[in-house]
Amino acid sequence: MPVFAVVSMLVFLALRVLPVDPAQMSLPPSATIEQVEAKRIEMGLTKPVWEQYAVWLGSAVRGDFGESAQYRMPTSTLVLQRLPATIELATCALAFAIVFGVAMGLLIFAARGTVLASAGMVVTSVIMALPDFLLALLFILLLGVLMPLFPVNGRLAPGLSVPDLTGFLLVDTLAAGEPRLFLNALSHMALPVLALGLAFSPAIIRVLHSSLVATYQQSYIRQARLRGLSDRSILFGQALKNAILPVVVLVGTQFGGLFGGTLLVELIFSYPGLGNLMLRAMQTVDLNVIMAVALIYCATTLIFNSLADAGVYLLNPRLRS
Amino acid sequence: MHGFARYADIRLILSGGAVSAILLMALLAPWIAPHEPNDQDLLSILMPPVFAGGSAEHLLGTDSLGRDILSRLIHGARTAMTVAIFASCGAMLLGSVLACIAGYFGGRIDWAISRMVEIWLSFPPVVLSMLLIVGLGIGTDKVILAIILVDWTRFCRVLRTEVQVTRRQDYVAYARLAGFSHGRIILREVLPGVLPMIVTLFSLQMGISVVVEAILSFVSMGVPADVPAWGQMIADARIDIYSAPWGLALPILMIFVTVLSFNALGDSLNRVLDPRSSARRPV
Amino acid sequence: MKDIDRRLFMKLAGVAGGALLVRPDFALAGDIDTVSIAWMTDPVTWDPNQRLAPDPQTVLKMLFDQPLNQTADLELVPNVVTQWKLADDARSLHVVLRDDVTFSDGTPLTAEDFRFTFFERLQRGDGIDLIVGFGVVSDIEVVSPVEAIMRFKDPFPTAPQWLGFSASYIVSKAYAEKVGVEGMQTAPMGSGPYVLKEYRRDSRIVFVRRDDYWGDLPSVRQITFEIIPDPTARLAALESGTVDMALELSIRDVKRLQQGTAFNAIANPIARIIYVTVRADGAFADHNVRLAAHKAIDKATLSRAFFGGDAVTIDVPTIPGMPGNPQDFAFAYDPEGAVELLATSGHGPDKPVKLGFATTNGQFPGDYDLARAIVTMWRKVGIEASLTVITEAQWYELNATGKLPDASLFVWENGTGDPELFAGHMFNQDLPFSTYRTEEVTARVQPLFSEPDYETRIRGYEDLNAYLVEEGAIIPLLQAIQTIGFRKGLNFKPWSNGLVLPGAITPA
Repeated sequence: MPVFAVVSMLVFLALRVLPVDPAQMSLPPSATIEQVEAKRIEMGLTKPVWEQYAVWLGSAVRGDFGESAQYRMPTSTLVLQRLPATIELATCALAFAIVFGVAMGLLIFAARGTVLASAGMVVTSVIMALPDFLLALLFILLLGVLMPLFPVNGRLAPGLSVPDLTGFLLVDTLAAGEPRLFLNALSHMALPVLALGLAFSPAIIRVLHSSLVATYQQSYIRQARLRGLSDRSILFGQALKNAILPVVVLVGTQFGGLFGGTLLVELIFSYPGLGNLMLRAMQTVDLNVIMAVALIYCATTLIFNSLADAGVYLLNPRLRS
Repeated sequence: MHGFARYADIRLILSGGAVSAILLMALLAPWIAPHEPNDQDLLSILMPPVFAGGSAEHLLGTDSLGRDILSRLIHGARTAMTVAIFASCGAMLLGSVLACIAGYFGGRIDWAISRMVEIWLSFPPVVLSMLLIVGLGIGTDKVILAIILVDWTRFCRVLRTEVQVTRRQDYVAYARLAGFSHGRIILREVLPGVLPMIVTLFSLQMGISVVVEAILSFVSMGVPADVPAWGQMIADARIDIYSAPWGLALPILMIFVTVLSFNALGDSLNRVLDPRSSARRPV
Repeated sequence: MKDIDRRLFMKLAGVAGGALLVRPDFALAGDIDTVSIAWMTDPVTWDPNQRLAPDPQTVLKMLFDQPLNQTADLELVPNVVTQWKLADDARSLHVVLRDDVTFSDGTPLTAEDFRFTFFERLQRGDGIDLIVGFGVVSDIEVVSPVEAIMRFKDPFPTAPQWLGFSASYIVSKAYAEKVGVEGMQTAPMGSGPYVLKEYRRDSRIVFVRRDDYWGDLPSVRQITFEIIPDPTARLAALESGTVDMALELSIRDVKRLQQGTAFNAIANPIARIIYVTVRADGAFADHNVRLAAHKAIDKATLSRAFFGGDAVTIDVPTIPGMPGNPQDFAFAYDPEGAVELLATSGHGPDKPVKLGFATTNGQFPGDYDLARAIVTMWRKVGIEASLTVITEAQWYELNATGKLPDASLFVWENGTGDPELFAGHMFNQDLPFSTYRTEEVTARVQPLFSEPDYETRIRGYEDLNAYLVEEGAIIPLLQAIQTIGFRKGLNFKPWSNGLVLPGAITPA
């Protein structure tokens, strides 16, 4: 929480230094100089910066992030409309990255010393050199243009509609009880999720693999072997439980990278989430929106860090006792 | 173990060779590029590469303004390397200095620097770098500055722990007993211990800087319009993805090869320089 | 009960073939269930009077009616207003309204709503762009529920044109008073042929046809706008069959679609011009530099490179065929002449002119490419321009604060069919659009705004246009084209004002 307060202050100060006039921008182009001046006073822009920040903070804690100059409507409404889409995207991508990363890590470790493991390592290095936005473009090029298998824009095919319950499309389509809608939403998510998830997976693969290697040097693994336990039961029963801890830590600390990646991936796939809102706000210097969205990115990252900490605590018997 | 070491050597040679080639290309760009990267030929736009039916005049074809793609790729390497080298050095210096101070002195200074790292890490790096550009404005120097201001934490976080470990070593304690100054101890005793880690991180940071520069140029928040950059080439080519997919694929390939080379170099260096690495970073 | 009777009456009237209610028989037989359109931008606000920007007009016209309509080539034709007469001194306009127009909540549209829209809203200060055109309205006298007289502070000879232009949609007074200004922005209710069924900001808008609409029923029962800002993604949506129609595709993709067999594609020249704004000070204070900057630009090559040669080059700030275009006026591409002019002013290879140049990126197709090509053309004659990318909103802000760069690439839409909204608005120093402000320009422009005689006014604009170009106050480049791709099985008739009208989409 103190981190959050400091962050909000820094962002606020940084944005107020910008050579733009929020009053001018929140009025129609036909506004006269007097109208702009009046608006400036109304928006409190004539007060000292620290006072402006205090006012902003006062309303922000009540959920009021001011009005968007570009959309001329409350920032909080705008943000809440898009937040679910981005969270859904990031969550699915993270789930994919974890499943794929852990599976690959185990596979490479289990096949150690064979050609399969080397091939797995090469693949890992290749993916590692392809950041999410390049993967997204490559997928569009390969699976959207050259071999059009997947839709490459938006969340749902035109003409289809789903009652808006939670904003999470996968949940809403399931709730509507129409598998066709669910599959359509899923196919729209396929490429963005793949791009984000795949780009995040090499880190998981590498950390899990080295952590498995380290675990196998521990004495209890040797003892388990001497007791005649099978390779499989040692790997899944003993080693994985311990080796997964660094992966949890990694996911917690590196989640910001994936979450930030949604920004570009949303742009590339015309995905109506926070990222597109943010990019548009940056282009139009819509200060209140930039501010609010930046804080949401921060808050989400911080929450994930804490979740990972809690996960480590729960998984690690030594910490609990 | 013998075979493994040789594998590492081959990787080092290969990745080192690739990195040298890219750096050389960047250095010699004005002499080896067949055309001026910004020269427009509005009457021959979107020509395909020579292997896809284009002419030898433009080996890799032209873009939507009739500019030679090969020349732009070569000059793009110059931009990418300029940004990457300065940004990585800056991030390395800033991060290492703060890490040494924090790790060596500990206490309140350590607390303050660690909190700062924490605040920084609460931002997704992409978001932070874009926010900085919104504040700083566009420009090659601004991109470099933004990367330094975002990525110093990578160095600081890893090195601080290393410095703490090194500080507890006997030889450092002896140096302190012998009455050497703090600065001298850090430079002479602590720094050599963490140097392998710095070199590895630097190589990885080069790849990261290339990617960040590409991202910022891609969203028109990077280098100015008249400086050729790979990210900008991707952004320009995106609208013609159907009629001229090559324009998109080629800069992607360049970024990929560059990042792959720097990553591989970092890994190989880590293995060669750091005796502990075989246990910690086997992939 | 009353409603049903009314609808029945209207149907009978339709069958009987009342002059204005006539509905071709095939319209019902050839109904299309749904058409989805890949569209560029969200309308942002549903208050139809709020913004003059061109993109939202197509969307708003689904829900709201305008007093007057335009034919495909911008002739004014009756709509809600059936007769109109401008006074000789252009200080008042007498209008007669239809008596059978209802809002979608069932209430009738009357002259009170007309008064509310074009007078009371402006008086209340609702912060709407409608005031740009109708700020001169001093009162609207309601003669009867179907008759009104608009009165103007100053002569307003283009009032009819404005009644058929952007943002001029009649809103319901009762509804507006019920929901307030904010309600108008979020929950639209109009008298147009469609009602809003679903709206997801920046994502999707779904309209359903009102079968009790007073006018010709469009063929399409449900129209969906898919908001896809990226032109490539719009094309992908069309080619994958997820939408039936896509707007503003790259010209090269239009050519490709035309060569294929699966889709129709058209490049429609519209009442929109692409031009370079010029300031009267700074690097452009020198007349020679202004003219050189114009002579240096090879417009034909720009058209060929970025619009497949389909965009018509223009030398005055208006489009071919529109009143106010001076006959036989041309301004030739002449790079040598540009170099000579610059030399006269003491510029040369060692002493290039340095100036700032702003452009949008993605505001209209090809803008960024055009700007970069112009920079190169200028460099060849010795003008060094440093290019910055701005948004449309920033353009207004920079211009209002006097910080707009010396030159900027801009696009101007004039769907009125009258030259006032071209040169008149671009150079009226009281409006936020003017970049080139001198006393002489003002002396030439302002009288035209209140000239009641049509012929005199048009001749005045012809002279003004020629003067502006010879003065170097503007560098007109091209008439913009709108690109539209749509699937086989549909017919589409493009409109010169760039609107996609529901009635223009019919089964093939």
